[in-house]
Amino acid sequence: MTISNYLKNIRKKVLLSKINLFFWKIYALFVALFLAVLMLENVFYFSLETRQKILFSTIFAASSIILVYLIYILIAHNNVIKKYKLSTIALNIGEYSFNRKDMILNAFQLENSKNQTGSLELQKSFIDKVQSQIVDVDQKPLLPIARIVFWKKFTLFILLTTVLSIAFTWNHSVSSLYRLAHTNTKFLPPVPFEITSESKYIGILGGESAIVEFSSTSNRPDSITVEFKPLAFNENEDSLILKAAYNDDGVYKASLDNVYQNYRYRAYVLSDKFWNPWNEITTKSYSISVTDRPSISDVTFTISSPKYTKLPSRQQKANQSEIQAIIGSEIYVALRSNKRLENASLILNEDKLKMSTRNDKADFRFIMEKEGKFFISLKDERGISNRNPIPFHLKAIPDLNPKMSILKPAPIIEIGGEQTIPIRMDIKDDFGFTKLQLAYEIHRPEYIDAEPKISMFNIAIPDLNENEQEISTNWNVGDLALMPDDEIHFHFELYDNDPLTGPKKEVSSTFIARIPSLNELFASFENSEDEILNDAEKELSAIKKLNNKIKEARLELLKTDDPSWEQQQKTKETLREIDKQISSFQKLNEKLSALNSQSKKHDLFSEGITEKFEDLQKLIKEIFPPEMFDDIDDIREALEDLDVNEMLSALEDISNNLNNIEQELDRFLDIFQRIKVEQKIDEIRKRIEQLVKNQDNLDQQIRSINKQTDPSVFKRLSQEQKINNKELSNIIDEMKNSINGIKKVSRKTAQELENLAESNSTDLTKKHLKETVKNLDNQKPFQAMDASYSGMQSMQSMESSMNQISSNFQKQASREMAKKFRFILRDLLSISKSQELLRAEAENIPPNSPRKNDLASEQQLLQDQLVKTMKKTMDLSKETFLVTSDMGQSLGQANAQMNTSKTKLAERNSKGSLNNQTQAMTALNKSVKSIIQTINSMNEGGSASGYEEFLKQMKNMSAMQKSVNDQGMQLALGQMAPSLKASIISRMLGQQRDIQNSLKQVMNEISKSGKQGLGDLNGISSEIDEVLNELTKNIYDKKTNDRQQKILSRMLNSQKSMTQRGVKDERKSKTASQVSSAAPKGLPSDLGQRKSIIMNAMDEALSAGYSREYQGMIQKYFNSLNTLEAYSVSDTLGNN
Amino acid sequence: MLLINRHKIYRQFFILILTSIISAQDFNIARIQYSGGGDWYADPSSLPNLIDFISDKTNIKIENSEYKIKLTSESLYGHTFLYLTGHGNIRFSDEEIGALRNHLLKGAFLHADDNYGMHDSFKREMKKVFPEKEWVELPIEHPIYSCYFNLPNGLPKIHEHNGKPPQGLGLFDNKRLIVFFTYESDLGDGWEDSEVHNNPEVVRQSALQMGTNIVWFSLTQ
Repeated sequence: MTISNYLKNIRKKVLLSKINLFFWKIYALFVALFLAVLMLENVFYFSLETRQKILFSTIFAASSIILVYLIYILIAHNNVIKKYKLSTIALNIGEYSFNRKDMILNAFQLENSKNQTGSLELQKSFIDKVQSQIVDVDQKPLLPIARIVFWKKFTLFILLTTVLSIAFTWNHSVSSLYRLAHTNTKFLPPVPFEITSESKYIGILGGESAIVEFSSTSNRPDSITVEFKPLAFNENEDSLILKAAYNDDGVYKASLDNVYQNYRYRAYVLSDKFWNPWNEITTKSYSISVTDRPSISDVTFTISSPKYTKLPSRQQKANQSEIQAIIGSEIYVALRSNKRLENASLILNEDKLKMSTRNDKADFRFIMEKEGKFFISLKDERGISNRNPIPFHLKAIPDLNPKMSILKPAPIIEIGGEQTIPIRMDIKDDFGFTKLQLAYEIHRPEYIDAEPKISMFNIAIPDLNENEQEISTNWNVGDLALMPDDEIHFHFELYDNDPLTGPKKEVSSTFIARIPSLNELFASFENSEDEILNDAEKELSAIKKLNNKIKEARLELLKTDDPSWEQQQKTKETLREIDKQISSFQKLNEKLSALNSQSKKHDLFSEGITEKFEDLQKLIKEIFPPEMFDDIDDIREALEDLDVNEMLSALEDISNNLNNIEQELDRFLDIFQRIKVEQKIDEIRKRIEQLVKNQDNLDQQIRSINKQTDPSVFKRLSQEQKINNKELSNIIDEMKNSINGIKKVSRKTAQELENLAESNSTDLTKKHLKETVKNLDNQKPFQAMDASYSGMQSMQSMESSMNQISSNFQKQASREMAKKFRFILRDLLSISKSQELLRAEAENIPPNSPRKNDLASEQQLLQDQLVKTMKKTMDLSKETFLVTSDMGQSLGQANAQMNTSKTKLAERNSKGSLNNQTQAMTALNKSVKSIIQTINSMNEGGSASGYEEFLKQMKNMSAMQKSVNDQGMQLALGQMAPSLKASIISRMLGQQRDIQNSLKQVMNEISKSGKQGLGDLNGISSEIDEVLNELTKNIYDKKTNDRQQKILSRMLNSQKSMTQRGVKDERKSKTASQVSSAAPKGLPSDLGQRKSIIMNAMDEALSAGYSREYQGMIQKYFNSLNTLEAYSVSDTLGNN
Repeated sequence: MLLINRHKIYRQFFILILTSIISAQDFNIARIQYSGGGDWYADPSSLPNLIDFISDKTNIKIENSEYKIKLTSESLYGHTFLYLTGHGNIRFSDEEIGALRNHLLKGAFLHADDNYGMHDSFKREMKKVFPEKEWVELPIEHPIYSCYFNLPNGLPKIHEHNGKPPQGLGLFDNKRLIVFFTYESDLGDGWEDSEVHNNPEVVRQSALQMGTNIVWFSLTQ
């Protein structure tokens, strides 16, 4: 046998062994698999599909493996696989059986070698040798005999296991085998229990609940799942409803509520153990059929609000279950159902209301009276009603309270002289208004102890239907007869236009309007004045300090060319202080402005005083000259550029300006002090004047009472008298307190004031007024009248004296001022004249005259005199505003020109100085003119062309005459004791004499002034003489009374005529320029005559020759007829 | 020309006769003294100057000085030419109203000259005197402006007053002018001494001429 054959043989054996081994492996595997599948089938009861899969996959796997292995063997047999190549086998054999493992291989190779090189015999020998040796080789190592044995054993083991397993699970295994063998047959796994539907097919009405029942056989589960599936189930849209039903003694129940559509249902139990052969135990599917109920397809609510709201109707659909409306709104419900309706009801807050129906429609109308809810019940023709209707909620929209926001007045105000309270407010309501009222209470001062007076009135609302509007009106409280210290507490009440629940009211907070007493007003004014004076003094002090600082800063800057950082900071600090001063002055100005406003509002002072205060305010306002602000800017710029020269220059200018400001402020303080004094006198005069008016008013009221008058009237009058008494005390105190202040300005006036304060008339006034109060409290009307009247007289006397004091003071002040101006004028005229002479001399002096040397010194003398005069003017400027800046400028110019002239004269340049001297004279003359004008205006201001003064005096006299006449009325009124009568006559006589004297004085002044008017006054004077005559004889009768009335009316007439006489400047005798005539072309045909039967009759009657008295009566009669005729004609024309 | 001159001569002759007939009491001008407060005595030199002018320029025999008379005076009826002026308030009593009415209806003539300011009160009072009559403005062509001196522009404007055109207003009784009220003119100021108001002489002359015309017209209408 060749080696090749041998090797082939061995290979064959090896391959066969491998096949064997493979077989046993496969066999073991399949037995194991068989066992596994069988056991699994026992447990899991594979489904048909699973069994089929197992079968097919087994067959497939087996076939594949066998096929693959056979192909492998085939390939190996063809010497492709290295492991089974003959050479490899030769090596393998050689390795365990020969010394040299490659002997066989060599021999094999020699055997197969075609290229025979070398010794053939040797080769053959070798090959034979090997052949002989390989015969005895053991082939077993090449064969997997052990492994085959192993696998055989293993297979046996598996088989045994299989058999035993089958044996132990015989029943199951047999069944499993059967099932595995019948892969096309479906076998149901055994279930532990069954579920049966008890309810089966169910029919219900829409909206009802469907209850399903199930039962189960043994091994009942605790719960089952019931599945409800809509009949028209759409997997993407619908969802299954799953409910759990619990074991209740073998019965399982589940319900589906509100069923409106058809369902199918079943019950099932899912396997809860994975080894269970069944997945679920289920019942059959049964159906639930639903019968339709009637329902609302569409409903609309129409809401109409009450008319007063003027809101439009609106509609709402059922998608909003809340209906919001105002109480009183009408709600209209209109619906359509899906069925024809037999009836429909609206259940509103448990009241069932029948709706009107028609086919499938229904509607109903109701008024919403309160909040609540309603729902709609339908019944169709089958008698089926709707189920669970939607409740609709009625929610009331509230009609809100009106609102007002009051812009004016402020919560607490003072009522000024105009006696009006401006009212500005915004009112708002959702639907409109009914009225706006103002309710007020008048509170008298505590010491009066009076009940408050309460009242109310309407304020017109422009448009009651406008929801938002502004109310603007003024409340005139003048009619309320308010007294100083009275308070009006008032509030506003606004009503809306809600007619259903009644207009709602909004009440504002309480406002208080006070009538400040004159005492308070003046006291407050004085406080403000003192404050202003203090502030002004502080400002002055501050300005002085600031000026010093600036001077110091200047001095320091002079020492250097380059300001240090400290110097710069100092300068900046100075600038900041200047800014601060400017704002302080602004505040001072504001205070002055407030003072002026207060005085104007309450009409505290005369026009003259008010003007002076305004002048003061102007002074403060303009105290900082405009160039000062430029200087401040210059310093700032210079600081930035570090320009010392500029800084020095600007600082110097500022310093000069501050000097001027100091002077102006000084002036302000001096003038202010003076004005304060004037103002004090004016205040006292005004208060007395007001008190007299008040007392006169009160006196009139007292005269109207009698014993039958209601006690409340006495009480009220007594209260008002107390107010007057208090004011009188205040005035007297004020007079005494102000004496010292006034003394500084006018000793005479202070003395007069003191005398008045302590005079008999003042004491009498106090006494009589107290008596008046006492008599009123005791309800003694006539005694009260007497006392009041006497008090009135004394008070009028006080007033007259005070007016005189005030007038004298004014005149004295004017005279003194005029005197001072005249002194200055005289000086200036003298200087001007001397300057003229000097000029003449300078013009004509020969060139070499020794006098030339003296001219300069003469000029110097004149300049010195001018400087003195200038100083006087400066001092005067501190007392009055009449020293104007123009005057100052003129004097300054004159001084400057004189200085220049003096210099030139000193240089013996007399010709050169002429121009300067001329200019000096011009400037002097200008200031003289200005002073003359000032003096003239002062004179005229005292009595503008004389008539103003005369009018004032006439007015005073008229007031005095009225007082005398009133006393006469007293006498004429009734019986009185002779002593009292004599006392009154005596008083009247004295007063009438005073009037006569005043009148004569006026007449004297008029005749001196050359003015006209004497004719009236002569007549008045002669009448007064007659009255004096009668009073002296202690006679007072009707004739005397008539005369006195005539005197008064003539006085009043003369005042009127003086006013109308063209006292004012408008009437000047100025020759007219030619004006073309506007006369008509012809005369009217009737020549302006109207036929009058009455007048003709009168003329006839008058010419009948009756006496004068009769003629007077006839005229009166016919004139009255004529008047009646005129009225009737105008009535007729009016009616037409 | 001759015709016109003849008329003038006749007229002057008539005046002469008339004034001669009543020479027992020469023609005079009486200034009314009224109450009410107004200055009835205003322009004291006006009437004397007018009287002088009339005496100088016409043949009217006129008394040298004016009379000052109250309407309630019994001697009122002795004065047929009444003059009233002033600046202020005029007030007539009932008696004065009756007397004035009577006198004017019986042939008297009143010239009222507004010195500035009496217009309202004067008209008011005159309404009481003649309630049935209305004021009539005389046209430029009225004889009063040309009866003696020809004033082609009508009533001259002497002083500025309110800057309005001058008006000559009249009250008539039938066809007779009984009251002539010069308004926005101020003839009285025009008659005053020249140094009083320093009016240009032309203006003064026109005032005097107008005053003459008024007197002449009152006598010849």
